[in-house]
Amino acid sequence: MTISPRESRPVTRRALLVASIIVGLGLAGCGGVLTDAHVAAANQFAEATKGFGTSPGTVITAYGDLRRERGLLESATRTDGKAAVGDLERALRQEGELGKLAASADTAIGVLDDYAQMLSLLSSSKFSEYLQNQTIALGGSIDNGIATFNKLAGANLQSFGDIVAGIVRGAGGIWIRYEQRKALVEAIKGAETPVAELTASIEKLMAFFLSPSGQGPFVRESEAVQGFLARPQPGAREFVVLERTQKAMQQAVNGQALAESCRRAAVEYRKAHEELVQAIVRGRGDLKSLVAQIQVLSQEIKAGKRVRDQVRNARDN
Amino acid sequence: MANTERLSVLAKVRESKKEAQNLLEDATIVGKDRAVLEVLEGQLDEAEDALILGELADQIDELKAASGELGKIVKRMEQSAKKIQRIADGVAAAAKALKILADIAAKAATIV
Repeated sequence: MTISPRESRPVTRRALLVASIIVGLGLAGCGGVLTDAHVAAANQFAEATKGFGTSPGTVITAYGDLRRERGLLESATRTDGKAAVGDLERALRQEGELGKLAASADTAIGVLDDYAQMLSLLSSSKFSEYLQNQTIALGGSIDNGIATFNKLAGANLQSFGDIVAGIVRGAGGIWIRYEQRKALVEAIKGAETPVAELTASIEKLMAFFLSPSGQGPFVRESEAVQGFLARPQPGAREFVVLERTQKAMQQAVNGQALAESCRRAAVEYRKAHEELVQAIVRGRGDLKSLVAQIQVLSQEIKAGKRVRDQVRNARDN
Repeated sequence: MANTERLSVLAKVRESKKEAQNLLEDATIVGKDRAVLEVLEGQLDEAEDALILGELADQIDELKAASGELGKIVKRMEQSAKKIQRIADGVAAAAKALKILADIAAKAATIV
């Protein structure tokens, strides 16, 4: 039995589609158990953790501000001029040194933002969309070429731009997704230990500001400024001194809250990343639990940002 | 100085400072005695500041070490992203060969 060109066209189309599906399934099979939901969860994790990196530095800066304020208030209680000058000098020096450490902490922790950004890119549809745009333009261009040929040559050649575009988009897209997923698994697996260590270091740093005995730097500074009011004063206490004492006490409360929020966010970050590793690298764990964990993390980071803004506003006003 | 050792010294400095602060609340201590106490409190304050800075600096060094490791992973992720972009470019470029065929056909028709 012979097959006419018109009859053969759908057969060819079907064959090409089947071939691209087989190639696609082959590549997808190499990718393991990573599903779209896993990729979406990785993307959600990346989105939730963007901007986490600056909170620990803000806690140190908040402490530096409070330390300077305490120096100023303490100097006001001195009977010895040299002691008063010493208070002011030390306070400024310490604030400057703490500022450098805060900047250093921000730089170190900024890598979490870079990690979020790259997770976001590797779990995004950017590459597939790029290919999609290229193939749509390509298919249209082929169709135009065939139409021109038909018009000029008086021919009736069936255009194949849609088939080419479909195959390129289909097979190419699957290849890209396979590579993206492979990169995502490698990255998340590789980040398991560094993320655990980094978040544990943040937690430890915040623990320094949140001493369990209530004797962390913020609490101590607040108690110190309150103690100055108990010292004998040369005259009646000026309103401005009381006002600044109150401001310092508020700074201590805000700083303590920020340190606590940052510590909690570090803990939640580690837990969520562990869930991500279990789900994506080891194919274990419950996706619902991962999503729930990411939501908790997102809430903690948002809460931290709100407290950070409060601290900044209180400092700037 | 080791972390636990430093924190133990810090606790002692704070204890001494608290003693000095309690004495400074005593209105009967005046004149030279008070000035001596104020200077002493300042010196303890200086020691406390230095110990706090040392402790924070050590902890931030730990952060930097962990951050450096994650930084290496991020670099590899960037390389992966570039590789994927090259694949997307490559697929699009290979497909363009088909477009060239269509263009040639159209040009051939104009000659015919």
